[in-house]
Amino acid sequence: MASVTLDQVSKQYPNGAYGIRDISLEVLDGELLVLVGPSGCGKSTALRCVAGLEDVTHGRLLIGDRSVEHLPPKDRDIAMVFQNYALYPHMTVAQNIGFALKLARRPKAEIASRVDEVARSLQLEQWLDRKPAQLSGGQRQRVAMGRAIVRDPAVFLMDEPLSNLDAKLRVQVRTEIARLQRELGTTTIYVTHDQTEAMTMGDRVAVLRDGRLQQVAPPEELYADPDNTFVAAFIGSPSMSLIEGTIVAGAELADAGVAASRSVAGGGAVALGKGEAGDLAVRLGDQVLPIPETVLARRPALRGLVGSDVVVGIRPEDVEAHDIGHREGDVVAPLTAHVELRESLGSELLVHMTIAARPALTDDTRTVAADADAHAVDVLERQAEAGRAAVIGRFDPRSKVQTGTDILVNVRVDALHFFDASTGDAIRT
Amino acid sequence: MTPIDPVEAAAPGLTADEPLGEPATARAYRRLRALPTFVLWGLVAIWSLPTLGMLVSSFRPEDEVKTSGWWTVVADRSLTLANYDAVFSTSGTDAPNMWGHFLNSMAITIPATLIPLAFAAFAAYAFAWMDFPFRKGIFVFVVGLLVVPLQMSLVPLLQLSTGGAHISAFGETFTLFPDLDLAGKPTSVWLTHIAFGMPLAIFLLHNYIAGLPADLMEAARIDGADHPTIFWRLVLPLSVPALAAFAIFQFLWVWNDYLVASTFLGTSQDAAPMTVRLATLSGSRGQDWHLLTAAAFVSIALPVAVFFGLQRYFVRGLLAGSVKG
Repeated sequence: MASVTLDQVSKQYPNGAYGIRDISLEVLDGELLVLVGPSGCGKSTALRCVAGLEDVTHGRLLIGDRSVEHLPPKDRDIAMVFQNYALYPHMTVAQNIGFALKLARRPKAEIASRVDEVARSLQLEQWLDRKPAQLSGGQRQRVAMGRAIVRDPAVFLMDEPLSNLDAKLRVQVRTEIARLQRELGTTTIYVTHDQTEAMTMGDRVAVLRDGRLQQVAPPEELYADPDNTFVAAFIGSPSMSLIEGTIVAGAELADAGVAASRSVAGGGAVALGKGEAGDLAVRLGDQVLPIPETVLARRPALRGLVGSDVVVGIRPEDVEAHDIGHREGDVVAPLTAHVELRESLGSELLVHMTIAARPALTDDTRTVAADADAHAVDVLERQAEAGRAAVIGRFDPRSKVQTGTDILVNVRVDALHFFDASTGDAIRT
Repeated sequence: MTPIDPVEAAAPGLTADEPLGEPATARAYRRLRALPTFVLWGLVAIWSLPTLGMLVSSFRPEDEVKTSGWWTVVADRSLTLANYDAVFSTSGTDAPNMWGHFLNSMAITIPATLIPLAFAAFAAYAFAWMDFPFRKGIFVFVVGLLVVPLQMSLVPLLQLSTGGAHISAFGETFTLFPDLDLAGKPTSVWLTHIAFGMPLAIFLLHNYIAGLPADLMEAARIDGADHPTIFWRLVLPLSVPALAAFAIFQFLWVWNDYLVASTFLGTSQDAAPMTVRLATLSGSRGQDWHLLTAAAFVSIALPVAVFFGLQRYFVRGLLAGSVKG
């Protein structure tokens, strides 16, 4: 049981490229920290540096209060679970799990009892005499975990352990791993590119991009208050809609005939009180949305940006059909959008719409799009050219919106996100 | 994962009928399998005919062998084991003494197979999974030694084993290689075979061992294993197919070798392996060739046993490098 500290850790390759750059991170004792990011962001490199499988070219690495950057993996008191499990194919499950103990020359009786104990906790008792080739993917994954657990290390390192499992099994094993980690209380660093895993499993989540740390925070905070457009676009599925906008004076709302209102119980809405409606608005293409006082209180810097371009972020659950009311207390404003596509999931309806505004086309949004799908970047660029930004809404499944129509939606304006147009950083103070 | 558009992935020049991206071996197998079975059996029969003839002849009495063809045994069924008896006899000055020569062959072949195997396994692991200066250069040099023709080095090697190598310079004699007095001893033969087998062994085993998954080694390192432990407990057990494949190659090559054995042991009948003795078995005027038939089958008994014993590794070994544990 120990904390893990990375202090300005960098790994530079002989050709000059950086795997990870100036990462400073502290993993608290007993915490499950998730390293997440698109492919090639350096999360596996960071994990391997902590494991000792890669050399650190700069910076300090501490496990507990021991400096370990110069120690080989076996002296760091860590155990690793690999993406491909890396089980020894010619050994039985029992031998696989007990291998480290055998190398440490523990007495046979001790090895046998500890292997049995671990096998019982992972429900592997009946497979102890099988070879890995005779096991299913999920069983092999449990053997890999057993091999790590039996060593009782200070830190668990997990490198995308679920990516080789099918979707249903993944959900099941995900909860098992989380439960096991909580039971054992061992500090764990967990690498994944799946942000759903990151959000559900992590006590805190660290988002990486191009070798640099973007933000470290508990999942809820990462979701509700991202530090920059990259984190905003990467976390959340479907993605947050990022649109280019301009901060304008509140007077423009009156010109457009738009006003914010507060949802009340039983449907319907009331106008905002004097102090609640802010005096600023944001122009998205040919439409304007009010910025309520609550947002201005959290992001006072907006006041100094009147007339400037910003990037506005809208999460899908903050967009709802006009006729179906929002929850009580939400501050909403109307927006007209064109419905391009409906995706009915049964539990909800994902509606893909476009509005006459430009989508934010920055390095960040391009990277997130490219990570999802090779064609997504082209789609984004075409949208930017056509001046139509995508807005995704999470509608009530009873909604009757039709594709190809222009509809009115309610946007929760007290949940709008604002980012700097050039740097992508969140606008706060 | 980015979806791959199947149209883009097709190699240019292939029609829609041909399977995409089929390797040449698969195409060849496909065409071979299309041949009717009886054609293949016919080929097998024709190919086996001479061997069958020899086998039959080895069981026929001497005078019948010399007067009629082996196919006449169908009508006249006189079979005998006299040839085999004669071949193993040790009486007389020119005795065949096949058993003695069989043991000589073993004395040459076994060290010549096992020693390169041992050294090459260590070397292959080091080249594949250890980091040391000039690793690449040394590996290229060692594998490049495959190019050295055996025939060209026979005379120098003979000189080396009988007299050692010395250089006279500045009035002094420097000994590059001591005179081990190996003239007429099997040691010189298998030392030569080891020298020539080593580059191939290192090449084959390196190909295979380098193909073992890296995260297996990493998992072992994290579990606390150092290089020797990884080698003995992980790499060797997983490399059995490659080791067996090389063992077959080397065993058959050395067992059947005539050139090296006759060069180094040609004059000494006591130490000669079976290949050398077989050459002179039919007598100075070819009058004893009935003995040759029996001796031939005695000499192939062991290689055939080795082959069938390690057969399943043979084909895998041919593809060494594409096979993982």
